Amino acid sequence: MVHLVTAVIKPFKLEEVKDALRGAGILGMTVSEVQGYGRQGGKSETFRGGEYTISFVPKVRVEVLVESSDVDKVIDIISATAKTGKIGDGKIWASNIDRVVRVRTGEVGADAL
Amino acid sequence: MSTAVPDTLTAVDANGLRKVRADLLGERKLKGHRFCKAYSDAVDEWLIETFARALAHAGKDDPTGVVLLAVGSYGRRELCPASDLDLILVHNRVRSIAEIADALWYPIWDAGLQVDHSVRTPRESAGVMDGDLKSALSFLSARPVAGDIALAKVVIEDARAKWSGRAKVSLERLRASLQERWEQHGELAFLLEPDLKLARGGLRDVEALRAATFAMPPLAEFSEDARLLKAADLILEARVGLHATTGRRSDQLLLDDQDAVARRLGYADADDLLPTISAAARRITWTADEVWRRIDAWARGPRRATRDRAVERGIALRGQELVLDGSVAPADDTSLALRIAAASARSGVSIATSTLETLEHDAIAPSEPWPVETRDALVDLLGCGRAAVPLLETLDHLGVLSRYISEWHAVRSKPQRNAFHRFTVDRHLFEAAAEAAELTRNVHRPDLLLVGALLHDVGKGFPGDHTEAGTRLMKDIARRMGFEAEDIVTLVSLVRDHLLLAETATGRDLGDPATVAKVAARVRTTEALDLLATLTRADSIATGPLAWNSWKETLIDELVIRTRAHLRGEQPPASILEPDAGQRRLMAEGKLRVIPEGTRLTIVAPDRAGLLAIVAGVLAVNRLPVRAATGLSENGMAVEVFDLDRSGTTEPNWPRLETELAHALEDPSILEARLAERARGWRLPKRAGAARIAPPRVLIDNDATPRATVVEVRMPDGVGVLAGIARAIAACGCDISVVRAMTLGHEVVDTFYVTDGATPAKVTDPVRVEDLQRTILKHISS
Repeated sequence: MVHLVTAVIKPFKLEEVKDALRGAGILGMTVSEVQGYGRQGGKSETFRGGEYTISFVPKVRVEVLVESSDVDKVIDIISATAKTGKIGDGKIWASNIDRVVRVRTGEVGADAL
Repeated sequence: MSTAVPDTLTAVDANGLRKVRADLLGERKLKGHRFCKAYSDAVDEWLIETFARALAHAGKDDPTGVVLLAVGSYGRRELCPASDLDLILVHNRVRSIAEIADALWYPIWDAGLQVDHSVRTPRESAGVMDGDLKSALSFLSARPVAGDIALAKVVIEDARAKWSGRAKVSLERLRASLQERWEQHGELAFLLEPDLKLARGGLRDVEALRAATFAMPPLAEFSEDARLLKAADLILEARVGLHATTGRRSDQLLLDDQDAVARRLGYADADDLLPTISAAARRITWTADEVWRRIDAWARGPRRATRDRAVERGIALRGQELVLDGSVAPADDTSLALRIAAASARSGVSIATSTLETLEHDAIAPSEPWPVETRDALVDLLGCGRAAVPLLETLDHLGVLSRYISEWHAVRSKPQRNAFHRFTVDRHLFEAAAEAAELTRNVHRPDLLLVGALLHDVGKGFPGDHTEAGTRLMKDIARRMGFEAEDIVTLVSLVRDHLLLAETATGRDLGDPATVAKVAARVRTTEALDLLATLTRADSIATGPLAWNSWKETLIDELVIRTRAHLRGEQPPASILEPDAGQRRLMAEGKLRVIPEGTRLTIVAPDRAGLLAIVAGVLAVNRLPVRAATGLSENGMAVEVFDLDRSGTTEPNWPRLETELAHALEDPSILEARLAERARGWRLPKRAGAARIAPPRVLIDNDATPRATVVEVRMPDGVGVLAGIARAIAACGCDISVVRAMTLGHEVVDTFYVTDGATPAKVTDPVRVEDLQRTILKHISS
């Protein structure tokens, strides 16, 4: 079985997370720049005299395809490295994936990882 | 339909053509037009045979009344490996034409060639030409491949006569299509992944030059120029190489394929190939621009002899073009080349070819340090934003830019292998300066912003880390340009730190006070922070959509906000200006004094409401532009020191000026009338494509110093600007205690310390603040 682990984290934690996953033998990932909010709920600042509201907070989304047996390990690594203990550290979730195909070779399932 | 053509017939033919093409591609020595010619000839031969079989298949004995025309790139014998075959089958109402056509097109499809085909009678051809520019153009390059040659001759000659008979209409249609294509595909010379056919400076432009020559034969001087033909062949060679390497029809030279294409063409790698392509594309663009200038002149009809109108020193408007009037030589005044470019950018009026040639030959490197006028002219040109880009390109093409900034040659047409970037280094720098010009009102020193933007990546032309190299180079360039020591420090740190905000914002914890403290320690002042933040924005936008989006903007804004708050918390209040001993002695005399010393003019007068407005107004009506001013008042007396722009003016009559000033202080109304008249004077008319100047901005700050409200006005320079602002402040019932005015190229940044006249305190009432802001904006925009 293949799982997709998705993590939404603070942008500056990306390098650390990437290095930690590589250290654990996880070589591939997809990264995208995203914006959103959770309990942090955006924030406002005063800028040039006017109230300046950031309604969506910039985050990075990391997606990793892993074998079921690695899911817990990957979640542990990401949550340990991405943690600052402050609000807005992000979330991690995992889901079942029905099919995976490597485009170049046509390999399927765990072989395609 | 396929049953109409026997499979055996098509299969044999198709294999033959496929083999011929493969053999030709195997011959590595056949490059550019030589490959295209050989390939076109092979296709000709094959089509002659196929055509004969098609006639036989349709039961037609002789080719009378049917002819196969090659058009487009095939018509010109410029067929590339993956080009479409553009064919027109012309017939005089031949009954079996459908069968002939089928027996022609099927073998071509089976050979794996894309074919753009049509079947028409001569009358249908003429009809299509009227509505469709592409059809009209295709007949210009048409030639018969097989069939009734006499019929071909009639059709082609008719089409060409039609094109040149209504030359004006033809050229208008052609130009409209070029504009549209250029906007869509950008410029070949500066894109990192250019389309060799469709981009500006590509093969389609060469074709357009030939089409223009058909309409206006004297243009052959340009369309058959040896340098143009050489450039066109080089791009054709790259296109053949691209098709041969990728096997695809696309003409876009993608980063992924560039090294392979370069090697196939005998270059070391893409960095070796791309500058060559750039240079060729520049030649094509340059020729096209010149041709369209000629066409415009011709379309306007014979020129009536008109008197030159003086635009500024050494520059005049002659007919519809800007020229050097001959009173000043480019070698004697190094600001001239930059000033005429700025005048052209500001107005949209183009520069005459003869003047461009003069600049190419006569413009020399400025003395070191640069004369102030030359530096101002550069800032002025850059301040024209997007409209300045083609003028900067022109100066670069003429070799003038490299004479002024010798390091520039290293970034010319320099490709960059970076997925974020769209443009070559030189164009990226022009683009960054153009973006910065839109943002000049965000900073206290537009000149440093613009020069910083133009040169922030100049290190990319040199070995090693580009930021380190650029930092070193900027120090030297800024010194040569004649910037003050502290401005050199600012420019150098702009280059050194141009990636600081972007890297910190995306890679560091913005919630950590240490991150903010580190950035604050690097930039040191809020003014420097504003410069750096604005440069970062301009640089990122110029880089491309991947480098600038709301995600990154939000992060950088947050870093800037936090850093500014950090800097504000530690900043000492602005220092209070004081008169020196000499000025105090003059002030003690208690009367009006006018003291000129070179470009410096000191005026001492009893203080009164609106004093600065009157003094600045008298200078303006006497054509004495103010470059910088400082002023302050103490114990009822005021001293004002002006730095005047004295280039090109004779020595003013100082005693008369003093008398005028005394009169104006008694009755300001006459002065106001004269000032209004001066401001209305003749100006260069604006055309389409003229520079869009950022609107003025008035900032009011009550936190900068404890004793006054600081009013800062950022706007374009003009006649009596300082006087206008001062009058607006006086009209609001405010007193000016200190003034600092600066002219930076065509930009003005004037700072006033004002107090509320009625109560000598700050202007804090929000209604009064808004009134002050609005009144100033109203005065300066009228």
